[in-house]
Amino acid sequence: MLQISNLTKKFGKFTAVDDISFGIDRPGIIGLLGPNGAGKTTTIYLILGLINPTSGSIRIFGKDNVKHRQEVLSKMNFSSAFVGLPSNLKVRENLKFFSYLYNVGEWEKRADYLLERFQIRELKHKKAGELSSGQLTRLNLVKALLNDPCFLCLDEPTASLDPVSAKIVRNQLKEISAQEKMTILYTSHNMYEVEELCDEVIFLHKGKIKAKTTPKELMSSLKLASMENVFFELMKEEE
Amino acid sequence: MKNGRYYVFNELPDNLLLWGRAFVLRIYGLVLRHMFLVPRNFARWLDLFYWPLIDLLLWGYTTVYLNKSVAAGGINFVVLFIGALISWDVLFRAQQAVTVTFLEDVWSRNILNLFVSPLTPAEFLLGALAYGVIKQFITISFMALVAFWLYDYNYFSLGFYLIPAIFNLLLFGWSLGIVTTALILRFGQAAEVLAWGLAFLVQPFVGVFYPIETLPKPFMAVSVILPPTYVFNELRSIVLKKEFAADQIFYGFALNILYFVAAILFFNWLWNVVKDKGYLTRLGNE
Repeated sequence: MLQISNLTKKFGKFTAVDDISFGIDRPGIIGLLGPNGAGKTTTIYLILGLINPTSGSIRIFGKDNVKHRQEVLSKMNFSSAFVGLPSNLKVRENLKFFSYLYNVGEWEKRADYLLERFQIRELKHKKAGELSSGQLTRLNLVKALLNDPCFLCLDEPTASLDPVSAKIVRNQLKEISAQEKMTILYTSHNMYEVEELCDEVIFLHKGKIKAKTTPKELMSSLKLASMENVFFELMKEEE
Repeated sequence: MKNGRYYVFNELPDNLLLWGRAFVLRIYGLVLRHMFLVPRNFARWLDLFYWPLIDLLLWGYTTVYLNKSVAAGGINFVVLFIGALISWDVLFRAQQAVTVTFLEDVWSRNILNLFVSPLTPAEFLLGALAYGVIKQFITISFMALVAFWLYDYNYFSLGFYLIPAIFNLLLFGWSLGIVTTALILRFGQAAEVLAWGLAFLVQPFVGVFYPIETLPKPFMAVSVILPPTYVFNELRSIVLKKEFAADQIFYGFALNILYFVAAILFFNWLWNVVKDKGYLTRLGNE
């Protein structure tokens, strides 16, 4: 599914991602964790081809993500709490627009199904700009799932959500990932969420991988009861 | 691929038919994304009708006045100026169509959503150009109609000669639009002002309302390297001498091709700089 080899990204003298290598070979939710500035978002942007790497390679579905950009991206998608949608378009129009970009057949059926799942179907004829941030986040996720991606990158998707909306999103992602055999690469600062959702975690710090294992194994190897304590422990080690 | 970098036009498909269908759908999707807004967005109506009308009224009445004042010279300033004004609008709005289309996605923080999709930068530009052509068609028709009604001037009386002239002006407007878009990609929203002002930078040099011989010699040196100069010369030649200056159109077109290719190369180069330095992701979160 995803194979990253010796990936490095430097911005001038600053090294955001420092020679990392890892692979993901099965469906599930993989948490990409770390403090601010650890290189999580940069890694996701590199995977999506929004940034050119300084060195190293990224292969997705066995293909180079730069050479086979269109082919790879047509089977992927992305959502972030920090990225918007055209606010002057209605929910339905937004989804129709993106269905053309991803060449989605029977898009309306798929859109209705996803809007229903994320409990925002009644907003279909509202403008995106009129939605609350929680509703907009859920619309962004519907957009991200519109093309039935095999590989989904989510950058802090629950960052702006209230606990109820966050729970809806978590439940849906868990179910959809299992039902549609989807791989989700997920960044979050909410360690309770990570514990609940992730089958595996990759812990980044200062652009390097500190750990790659299941949350359970990580907690038991460090003899800690929660992922939040694991987070503090790994940070302490570094200091 | 060159040095591990992606270049805008280098992705050749395995199945040309499927790729072609997807290509057309993506562009259609982009056009649709903007067409949705036309019926209900007041700003779009201003853009289509209000600003062209203001231009037309201001300059129209100026030329009517001039026509009355210098009637003795035998020059029909109404025909000369209003024809030039409508033609200038073609260039200016062609540039704006490209840039503002891009800016709308920057303003709504949608730019990353576009470029994580299979949409290529080339398709993005083609979508903007296609939307621009539709917009231009409506605006020119509207301006021509108002000019006919208010000033008894038929813009289309220039006949088929108008087609190469308009095409040349569109091409130059698109080149300016592509360069402006590349600069906004690189410098962010700080470069937005170029979207509104870049075309006016060339306006004094290309002889929209007067022959370039009116300009001082150093300015004329700038004029001769700008394609629209030849278009406006040709249009003046048709109006004043009833002659179609084919050589002017040819020079204009040849220069335009150079400008257009240079604009695409500039965009392609900056696109890779932007991806190297991470400016695209910064712009997406601005």
